Amino acid sequence: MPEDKELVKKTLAGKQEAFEMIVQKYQQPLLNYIGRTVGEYELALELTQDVFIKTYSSLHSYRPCYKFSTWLYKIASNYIIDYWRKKKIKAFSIDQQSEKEDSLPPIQLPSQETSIYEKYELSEIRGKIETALAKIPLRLRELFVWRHINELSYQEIAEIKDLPGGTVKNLVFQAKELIRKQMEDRG
Amino acid sequence: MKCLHSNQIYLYLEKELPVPETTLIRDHLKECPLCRKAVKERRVFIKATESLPSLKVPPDFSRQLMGQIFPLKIPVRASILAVTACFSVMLTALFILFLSSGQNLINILISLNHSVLNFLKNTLVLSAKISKLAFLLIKTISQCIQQIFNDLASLASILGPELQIILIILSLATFTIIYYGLKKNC
Repeated sequence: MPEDKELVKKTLAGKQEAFEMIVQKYQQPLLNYIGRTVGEYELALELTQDVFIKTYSSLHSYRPCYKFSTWLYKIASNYIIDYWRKKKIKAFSIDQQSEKEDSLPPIQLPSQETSIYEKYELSEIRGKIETALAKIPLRLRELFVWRHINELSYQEIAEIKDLPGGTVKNLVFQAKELIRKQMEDRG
Repeated sequence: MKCLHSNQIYLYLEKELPVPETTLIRDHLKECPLCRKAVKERRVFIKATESLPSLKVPPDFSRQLMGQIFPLKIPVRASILAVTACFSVMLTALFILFLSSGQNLINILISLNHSVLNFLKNTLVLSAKISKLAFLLIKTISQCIQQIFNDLASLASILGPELQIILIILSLATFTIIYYGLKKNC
């Protein structure tokens, strides 16, 4: 498959097939990201379509010095935040941190009791992760999804959100601990 | 060494720690069953996370999306061909109908000729009327514009230059606010 930058160039020159190749390449990762972030499949499909339409209409503003996938995820992230804002649901900016969230929760040393990781099969643990994921703040959820579902590097996530790499790492760890805590609370 | 912090565990599992620290953690894990359990749990957690199934993309997703971005455009040549084909089919059907009803072919051609002539005559009359209406409309609009300019000229002669500048700035500001307001709403 040709490189993203080449496909963008061809799309801007009027070749529809080039944009279709971009869509086919990114539809799965983008749906995974949006789906896991918003938590509703139908809504995720709709938002994924909207993000691609927005990407197409902003293609002229894409600068090839940036990685295309980073630029695409940035559009998607802003679109989702705008969507929740319009829906009047509180979606924190990544920079807004409450005092409570400034530091990671302290390590919870496991007790001698059997933990959920020993009690359940991997498939059941996956189900519990999905449920717990929906309960954590949006700003942490999207970082977690990028890192562990889209398998982006910390550096890529840092570029998408314009944050230092260290901050991204800490926030991803914080997301994981919150998910684990949700899972343990619910048994 | 003290018991591990969750950050340390994740960095250890992702192999992001320097070698001396990794060795220290390994040594600590040999002695501390609680930290060993904490590491094991997080390892299982990460494994489960990374094997979450992908959401299913509908097979026609990209086709539907492309249809929304690039609405179907029928080439002009294809449209002309389609119209010609329809017209030919209708004409042939009419001929067959008339012939099967026992009418003479010459009569059919004569009546067809009359119909075409009548159609052309009516079209010409209609075009002439439409042209006349358009001419009247343009004349009215130009008179209205002329009247507006006359009114503005008489207004300018009453108002001083400072007041004129203020009015122009106010109008421009109002126009800009309305324009951007509408754009934002859209």
